[in-house]
Amino acid sequence: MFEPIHGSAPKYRGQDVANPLATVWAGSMLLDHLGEHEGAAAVLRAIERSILDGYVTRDMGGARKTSEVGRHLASLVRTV
Amino acid sequence: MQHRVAAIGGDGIGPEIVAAGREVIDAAGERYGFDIAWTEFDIGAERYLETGELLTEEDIRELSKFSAIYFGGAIGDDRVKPGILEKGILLAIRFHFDQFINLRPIKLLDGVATPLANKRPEDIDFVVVRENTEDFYVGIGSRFAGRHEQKTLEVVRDIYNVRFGLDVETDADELAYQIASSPGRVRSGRSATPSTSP
Repeated sequence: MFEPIHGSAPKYRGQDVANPLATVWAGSMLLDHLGEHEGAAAVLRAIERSILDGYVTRDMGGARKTSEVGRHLASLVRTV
Repeated sequence: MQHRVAAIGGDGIGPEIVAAGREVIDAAGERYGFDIAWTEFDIGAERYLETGELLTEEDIRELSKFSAIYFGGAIGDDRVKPGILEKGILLAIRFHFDQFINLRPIKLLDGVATPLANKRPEDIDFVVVRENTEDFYVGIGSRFAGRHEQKTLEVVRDIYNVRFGLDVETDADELAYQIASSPGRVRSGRSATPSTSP
């Protein structure tokens, strides 16, 4: 089972503001578990790239929504 | 290559962050030639409030068909007394599937500011291998129980002993050893810090 270690933050539910990076990182670990090591490594590189670009949610000083960060990471993971 | 993975969005922000994660994983699959067949599970506070069900026998039967579970990590809702969902879902899954390791990578990513002076990504990169089903980490729930702690501990241990009787300490040590022995890993240490979080 692969999960971020933070909680459910009920007060932010449905607002599209939560930082998805821990969940995405857990997804990278899931890929490692499935034997998809290249994919797992690319997901981590995408996270790093996104942070370097400042494409992050507001808790990290950015202005992006949860869904925007997810889309951006998905696009990055195809190239990084 | 296709992999079957169960997805549990859970409560609160869970569904949103799992959706983001799935999008990224699927994109990795397009690039590297694998496909994830996702199956969503409606397990969490909403269902509990509607039906009174926590983790059902059918949930367990279905979940056991998958190679992995992707979970929002988010079980907990203001409308439900703390501890019910954590024990009835999170800990139930953990013990049923004998998830005896809590594996946590700690890595300073490039671009992230750290309050530690002069530390760079190459300086902070380690993995915590933690007992997940026994020892101090018996799973009391997400809130520290204060003076009732001992009672709760006994209850949980009773369940654990009767239903599972696990003895996994050797396995945790073995995994920690393997990670510590892999290239680039130089040191490991032990800690017996008790935890009260699931």
